[in-house]
Amino acid sequence: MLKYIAKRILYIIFVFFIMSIIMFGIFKMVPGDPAAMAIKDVPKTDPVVYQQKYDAARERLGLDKPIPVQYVSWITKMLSGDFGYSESYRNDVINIVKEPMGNTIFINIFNVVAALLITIPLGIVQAVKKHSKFDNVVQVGTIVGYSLPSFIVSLVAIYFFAIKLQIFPVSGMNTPGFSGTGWEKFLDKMYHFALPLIVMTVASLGSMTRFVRAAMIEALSMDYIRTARAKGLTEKVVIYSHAFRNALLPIITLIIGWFLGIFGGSVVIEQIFGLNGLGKLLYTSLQAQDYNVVLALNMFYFVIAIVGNLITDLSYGLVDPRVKIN
Amino acid sequence: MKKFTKKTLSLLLVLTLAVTSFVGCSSNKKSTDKKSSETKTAKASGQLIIGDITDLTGDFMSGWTSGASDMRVRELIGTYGYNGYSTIALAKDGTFVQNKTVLKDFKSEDNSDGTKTFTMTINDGLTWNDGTAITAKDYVFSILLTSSKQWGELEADTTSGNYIAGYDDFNKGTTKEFTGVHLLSDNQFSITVKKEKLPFFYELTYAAATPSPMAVYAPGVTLKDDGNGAYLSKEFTTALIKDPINKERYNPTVTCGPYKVESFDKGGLTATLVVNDKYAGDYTGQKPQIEKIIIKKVTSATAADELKTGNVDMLNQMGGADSINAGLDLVDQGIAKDNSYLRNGYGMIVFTCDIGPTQFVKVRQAIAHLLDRNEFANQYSGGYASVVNGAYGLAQWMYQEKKDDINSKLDSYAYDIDAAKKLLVEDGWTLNKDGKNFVEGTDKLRYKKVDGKLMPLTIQWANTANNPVSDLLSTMLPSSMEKVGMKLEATTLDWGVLINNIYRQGIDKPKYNMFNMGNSFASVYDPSNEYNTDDSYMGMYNQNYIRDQKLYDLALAMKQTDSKDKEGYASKWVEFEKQWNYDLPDLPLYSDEYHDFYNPKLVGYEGNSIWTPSYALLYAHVK
Repeated sequence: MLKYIAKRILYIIFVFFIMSIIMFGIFKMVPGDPAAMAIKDVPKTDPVVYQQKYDAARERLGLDKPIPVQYVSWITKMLSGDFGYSESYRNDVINIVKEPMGNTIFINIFNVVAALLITIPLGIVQAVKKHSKFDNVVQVGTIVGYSLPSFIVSLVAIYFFAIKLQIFPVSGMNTPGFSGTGWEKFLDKMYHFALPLIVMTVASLGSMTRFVRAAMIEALSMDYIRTARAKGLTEKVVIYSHAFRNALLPIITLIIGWFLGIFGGSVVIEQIFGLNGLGKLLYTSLQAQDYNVVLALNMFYFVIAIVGNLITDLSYGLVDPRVKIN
Repeated sequence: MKKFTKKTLSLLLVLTLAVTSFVGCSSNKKSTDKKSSETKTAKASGQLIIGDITDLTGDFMSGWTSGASDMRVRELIGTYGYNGYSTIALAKDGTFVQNKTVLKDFKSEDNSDGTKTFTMTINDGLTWNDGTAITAKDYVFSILLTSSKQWGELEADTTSGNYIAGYDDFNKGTTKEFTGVHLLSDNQFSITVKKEKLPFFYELTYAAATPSPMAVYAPGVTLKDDGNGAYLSKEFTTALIKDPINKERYNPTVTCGPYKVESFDKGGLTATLVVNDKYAGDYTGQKPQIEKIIIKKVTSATAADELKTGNVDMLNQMGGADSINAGLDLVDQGIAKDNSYLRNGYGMIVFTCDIGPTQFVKVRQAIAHLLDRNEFANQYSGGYASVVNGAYGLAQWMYQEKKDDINSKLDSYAYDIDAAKKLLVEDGWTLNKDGKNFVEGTDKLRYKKVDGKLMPLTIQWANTANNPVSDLLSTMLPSSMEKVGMKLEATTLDWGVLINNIYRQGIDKPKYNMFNMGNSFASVYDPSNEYNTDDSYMGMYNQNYIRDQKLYDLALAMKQTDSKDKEGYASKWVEFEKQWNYDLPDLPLYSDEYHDFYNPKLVGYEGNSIWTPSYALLYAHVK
């Protein structure tokens, strides 16, 4: 197993470098001039001064050098923990990313936990009561929830819960000017996160519920379930010890994907609810051609994805003794 | 695992909702309780929450970024604009005046070498918010700092002092003295303006200086003047100033504006400002009457709802039919008050005047005739905008004074297909693709022989996605153009790429003939750079690539008007607008009406597009 892990890590390193070259190349091909965007705030007072600033920006960004040199410089810095300088925020990328990442992880953890707590039991009950009224209602509900764009769900939720009923605030992450103890601030933050959290959870119910249902239906139709029932085991044991454990194999891929997804922000929900998260940062940085931020985030997501794949593969062995990791 | 029933699942959902609601209600109550126990100053009281659509980044020092919300905070705390003991102030009517709260004495002197020196003596008793005295050294230090090589090495803009004599050498670091800036005593300093920057109608703005806390930004550094100009001691290095300035940039502690930063919430993008009780007042001596101002990020889709539910107290500069109507509904319900004013700028089509068909003035004029601009403005704004016929905004003082002249002397380019056709024929667009005579009804596209080759009357238009102006133009222009043998080819670009195409940065072969953009005029109106015919001004300054010497001369004449000759300036402005109206480097589409919607608890607020809330709120209070 250790040999397998070592081989996979070597593979990850290889793929990482290939992907870094591809990503860097793609961003170099995007039309636009990052040097011009970098000095967009320089007052228009003198064309000579502007040209000097423009040339200095090109030099500072390394745009005056050949692309392979630019790549080596970028990847060397990145591997040493220097993710570069954000030209739109005029600050180091690491300083720009910290806060939105914290916010995104914070809200996504609650979302993933809430969604899993709802979807897994719901999917199991649906599978057990296949084709019942309950199953049909949930099926329709999940299709509707799955099909509705999140911005519509968000706006409807704002209209009812924030404007009509005034239970939640329309947007924001805390009460403006709020002061209090750490606990009070946490509660205030949770109050503001409640509505986006509900919307995110509702939006993510559909796919997982249906997936769990399908996996459980398949597991429940297996011969070993009939055998288990024939042995006189209780329905509870049949469902949770026999069927669910076997259904877990496909589900675990999705669950790990969800947990890895806590690093990914939602552009739409963050924008509508005024949340300062990674999705919004990625979108605004792309618009501003702030490629150091975009590249750093993309490489981060890429690393998360390939490490996630490894964890998923390893987890198969843990949940299913039939799978040998080597 | 426990067996879940329908009932348990429903209960779980309800509980989630109930718990979060309870958490919210209890936290809200705590917030209200806290508010009541906040420290209050003797005069200022109450709180106002301003909803801003642009993001706050927390960069509260000038020199790096220019986001509108950050700029608002800077204006309120005095690190930008005219609130922070600027020697020259922006008055309510948009003119510039000496700030008598700051200046004890002000002298201007024309020098024999063509330069001009402003000598200023500041009043005693001005202090930073921490109570330490503000001296002339802080003013001189501010000019030296923001023009220095070291400031540039922190990636900050160093161009703000480039009109001052000796700037170039000081900025490059070739001289230690800034020869155009003198420290004359603890309360007196002078600024000498370069000969080539004079005369200038707004020359008083050259004397504008604001202080920076030298002891905080550059601890241990001394500022001297041995007669050759002010200079900083050798301890002034990039390494020395880097940390204190970075700290003050994101967490300003020593400022001198009407407000000071109490906190900035990076997560929620909310800035909380409290009144600076050491503030001596603006140019009229007015001190802030609202104790706390909070600037909060809102989204345009739900901004009116935020005001309705009391999450914010004020929405500033709302434009467009949807936003205005939503705000006016709140006014009708008695939830909000309305303050409307005219935009100091306009939305327009920017023509490229050196390539393709739009290099010909008659083509530009023909396009103007092909768009029903009244209908356009009406549809775009829902009636909350007017059509303008020149490079002006309805709020500009020149327009207000010369309204009749402008309205009678400028061509309105009324929607007229025949007039457009006539102009095209006059300009030689009389051929078809084979070089034979264009026959209406048979040929679809006009051509003209340019440098021996046939040029099609195809207008390449670059626009951006999700833009209502683009959508409306796409609906209204092509059919009109088709009627006269013209074709519109639209390309949707990312905003940054569109800007690159206008400035021609990273663009080898310019392609586009028109773009739709918007502008806002600065209080110091000087279009001479925008219409300068020199190649070095093309793109970043002269976005139209127009080379009309007459237009440039008129802009220059306006700029060089004696600063006391207001009537002369306004008359020259009319002449400039007449020529501009003929040249049509842009096709002006609309000048908006803006609205500020605010909670009725705010009393005495009279803002407009020049006298923005950063200034107008000093005169308002919360009841």
